[in-house]
Formats: sequence, C-alpha cells, structure tokens
Amino acid sequence: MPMTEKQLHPFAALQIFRKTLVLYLVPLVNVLFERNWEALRAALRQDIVLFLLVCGVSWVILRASSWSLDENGTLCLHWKLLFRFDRTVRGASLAALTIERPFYFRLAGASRVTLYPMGEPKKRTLTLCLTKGDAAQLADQLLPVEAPSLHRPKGGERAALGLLGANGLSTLALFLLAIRQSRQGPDRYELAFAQINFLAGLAARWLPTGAAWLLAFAGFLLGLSLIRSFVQTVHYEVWHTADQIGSSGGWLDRFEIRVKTAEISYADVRLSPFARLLRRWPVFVTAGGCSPELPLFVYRSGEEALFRELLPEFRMPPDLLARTEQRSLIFFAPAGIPFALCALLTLISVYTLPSLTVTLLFPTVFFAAGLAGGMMGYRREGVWLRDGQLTLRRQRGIYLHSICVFHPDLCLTANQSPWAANVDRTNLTFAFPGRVKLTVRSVPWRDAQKCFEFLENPLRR
Amino acid sequence: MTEGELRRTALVIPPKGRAVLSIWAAAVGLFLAPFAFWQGIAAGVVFCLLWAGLVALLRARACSYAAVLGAKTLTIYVGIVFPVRRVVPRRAVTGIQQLRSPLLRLAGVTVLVISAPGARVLVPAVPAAQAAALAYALAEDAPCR
Repeated sequence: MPMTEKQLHPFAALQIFRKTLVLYLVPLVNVLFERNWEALRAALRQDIVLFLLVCGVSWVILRASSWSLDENGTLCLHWKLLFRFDRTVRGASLAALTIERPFYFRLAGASRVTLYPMGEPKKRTLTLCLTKGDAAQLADQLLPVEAPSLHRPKGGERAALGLLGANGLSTLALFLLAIRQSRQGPDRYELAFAQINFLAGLAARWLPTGAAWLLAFAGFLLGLSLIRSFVQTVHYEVWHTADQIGSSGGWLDRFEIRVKTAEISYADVRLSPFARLLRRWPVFVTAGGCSPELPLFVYRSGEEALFRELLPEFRMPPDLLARTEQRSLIFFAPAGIPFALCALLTLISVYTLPSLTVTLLFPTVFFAAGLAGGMMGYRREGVWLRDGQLTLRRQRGIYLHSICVFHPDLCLTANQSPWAANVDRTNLTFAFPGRVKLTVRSVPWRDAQKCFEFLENPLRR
Repeated sequence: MTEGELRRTALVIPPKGRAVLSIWAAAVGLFLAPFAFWQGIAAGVVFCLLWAGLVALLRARACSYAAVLGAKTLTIYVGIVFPVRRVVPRRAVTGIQQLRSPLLRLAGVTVLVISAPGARVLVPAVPAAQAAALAYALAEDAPCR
C-alpha cells in the first residue's frame, strides 16, 4: 500500500533560525569599531539580507523534507533535493516518545515530537515538528496506548506552589535589598574614597548596587522557571498499560510522555529539602537516550500504593547511613571551594566595603546549602542490592537521588585512584543504554564487588 | 579455540602487541614533532621527551591489560596505579569490529572494538586466535534487534 507523504509544520524552521542567531551578530562586530550610525545602518542591512537568506534556506529545507507512516507503524523521513535520503524508524524499536506543545506552538497548531530509539545515544534521537493531528496520529501508531489505567496525582501542584511561594518571598527580599543599595547616595562614598583612584572609587560605588540587582534578576528568572513548572503540573495525569507508562498535562504548555516499561533504564525519586518539607516526592524515569530524565509523577507520603501500581519493580535504596571511614572528601569540593571564597569575601567586606556585606551573604548562604548537600552525599551516597534489584543513592547539589535500576543491559566501570585503592574504595559508574551514565563516588570496594557479582549471577534476568 | 578454553584463560596483550601499540603512539608523536621543533630546538626536545614518557606509560599500562570472559559478562582489567575494572554483560553486546592492519598481522594480533548500548570497549592487540574466539562467543550472545 503506497504511503502518503506529508510535509513538516512550518515551525520546523524555528530550529534553523535558532541555530543561525549568532550569524546576525557578525555584521554588528564592525559597529563596535566604527561606532557611528552609518556602520549600524550597514550592519542592519546585512542582517536583513542574512535573514532573508536563512528564510530561503528554511523554505528549501521544508519543501525538500517530508515524512510518511505505514500501517505497520514504521516512520520514514525523506529528503529529496539533489540526492535522496530516507531514514526509517520502527515503532517497535522505540524506547520512549514525547510530544511537547509550548504555548506559541499551540497558537500555530504545531507539536514537537521527540522519538527515542532503544539503546541509541541522545544525538540519535529524532525531533519532528508536526501539526497537532499528525503528531497524535504518529504517536498512536508508533506507541499505541491500549486500555490505560488513569490516575490524577495531586502532589505536584502543591509542591510547585510551595516552591513558587518560597521563591516569591526570596526574590522580594532581593529586590528590597537592591532598591536599598540603589538609594544610598554617592556622597557617603566621596569622602571615603576621595584619596584612592577613580576605578576603585567607581567599583566601590556601583559594585554593591550592581551585585544586588544581579541577584534580584537571578531570583526573578528562577521565579519565571518555577511558574513554568507550576503551569505544567496543572491538569496532570499519569497512566499505565500492560507495556507502557506515561503522563500528560500542562496548562499553557502541554506535554505528553509515553515510555515502554521494558525499556526503562532506571527510575529516580528525587529528594530535595522542599520535597521533604512538603512530603511530596517527584519520580523521574529514563529510557533510551532520555537525558535529563522524564518527569513522570509526584506522589504524596501515604500514596505509595499508586507508586507500587505504576512501577511495581521499584525498590527504594535502604534508609541507611553509608560507611564514611576513610571516605573521599571530594563530596565537599564543588560547594566547599566557592563557599570558602564567598565567606572570605564577606569577612573582608565587613571591614572594607560594609555595603556589600549583605549582598555577599546571599551567595555565601547559597554555597553553604550546597555544602550541606555535600555532607548529605558524604553520609548517604552508596549502592545496595535489594530483592534482586540494584539500587543506588547519589547526591547532586541539594538533591538526593534514590535510584532503582531496571534495565538488564547495564555496563559497570570501577575507577580507582591510588589513594582510593589504598583504602579499598572506588568510584562506580553505571552506563545505561543510550550512553546515559551515573557515577556513585567513593563506595567501599566490597559493595562494588557485590554489583559485579550481581551482573555475573546466572539467575539474573 | 573453544569458548571453554577461552573462559579458562585471560586475554592479555603479548610483547609483540605492546610493541605495535608503542609504534602507533610513537608515530603520532613523530608526526607532531616537526611542529614542536618549528618553535625552537628546546621546545622540540622537551616535546620529544614528554612524548617518549607518554609512550612508556602507555606500554606500562598495556602490560596490565587483561580481558576475562565469564558466563554472562566480559570483564576488562587495566592499570595498577590507577586501576580500572569494566564489566559488560554479554547479552548487551550489539556489535563487534575486528581490525587487522599489516603491522598487526605481522605481530599476529587483532584489535577488537565491542559495542554495547551503554558503552564501547576496546580490546587492543590481543592474539588473533583468541580475538576471533572472543568475537565468535560474543556474537552468539548478541541480541537480534
């Protein structure tokens, strides 16, 4: 049966525009040297020509590209200009699929579909920009959802609102600090810095204000990203079938995830201080080359039944403290070094530039939180076997990831430095299909040995 | 060589294989050396000494290389000062490439590149008969996808 070839949505050109954004800066370089209106006009004219050229190239690419789908669930991408190139993706060889519909995509009736083939690295994933109907048809043909059991967990909205509230308060505090710094008149500095050179005086005058506004701006941006997270948790539902698990939702930006259960590499319950406070635990999964992990659902304490229904094989790492004797202090390095630097600067500013002290306290507190996270990793990171499942706990920043490994095609690497070898410890790296890697630091060699024996176990599936 | 025989022994890099690896590493240095000498005699000499040191380190690391085929896994051991142990499940192997250049053929060794979904493993300059047996054993386990 002949397949009908369809065109991509015109929004596919957005990707080309995004990649060529830097091109428009090239003519503007000349303006920096010339610094006159004539140079600016010439640069803008060149930018318009470049834009028209990119538009032309995008139009040719859109005309030359097409896709088709046969009744067996095989997607074929075509390129027909000068030469012919076809890429075929079978639905049976997919590990996961996502459909994203950002707000501006929805206005234009477009959807972004990302296909994750089994075992392929992230660079081999396939992203298509299609119309809404085509995207739904493609998803239903490649990974059909049959008789799903639907759930609407409520944990995510409250957690996102909590985070948003906390961010709102902290950003407000930062704005107040920035306004206070801005109001401090220059005259108080004039006396103090009359005897030192112009640059130092200028820095002393503007550094506290600039730094305060920069912090406030960073807090504002974080707030925007949290608002985005919150609107994604609205109308959220998670479902599972005999061989798939997935979620969908979002208010302004819509998304849908479909993952083959047999291809899930690992599931990750992410613990953060806020999650502990609100007792809501976000669960992420990864399959194929999905990196970062796909957010699946958020469950509340006491709602573990839903978790067990969705991921029955999941085993939480045991709630034990890791053995810390002769453990590497590398856990403290990423946050400890900037913390020491910021703390030193804060101390110095108390005597030399008191107006900067409060501003400097913010990064100091931020890195102190990171240091507390490092301490958590030092005491908790490790690897364990539970009920025939490999479980691990690792720390990244202030997050503690509790991970259960599902995929049997797992490669393990133990790297030891001379110091680690001397105290019988090793860094253990888990390599999953799709070249997704996780490293657990400074684990006792006997724990690593158990993992190697587990891989060699003939009873393992 | 049968799989049983292969599993009773470890694949190590023989002296001739180590010599081939050293020649390859030295050849890269020889190619780059003129650019270093272009900057000055002293720079060239320092570069040559550093490169010779690197080649010696590579040769020393090749001495500690061993690949062991188990019932369900292939384990690679390499290094003494910075030891690395790598385990690849046999069922995860999706492809095996065998490389034999004239120099490798002269030394009677083969380079194997083993691909798995999560990793790519290099088995450098092991005896040709053992490499062929290893490739055969792993190919039997490779999943048909």
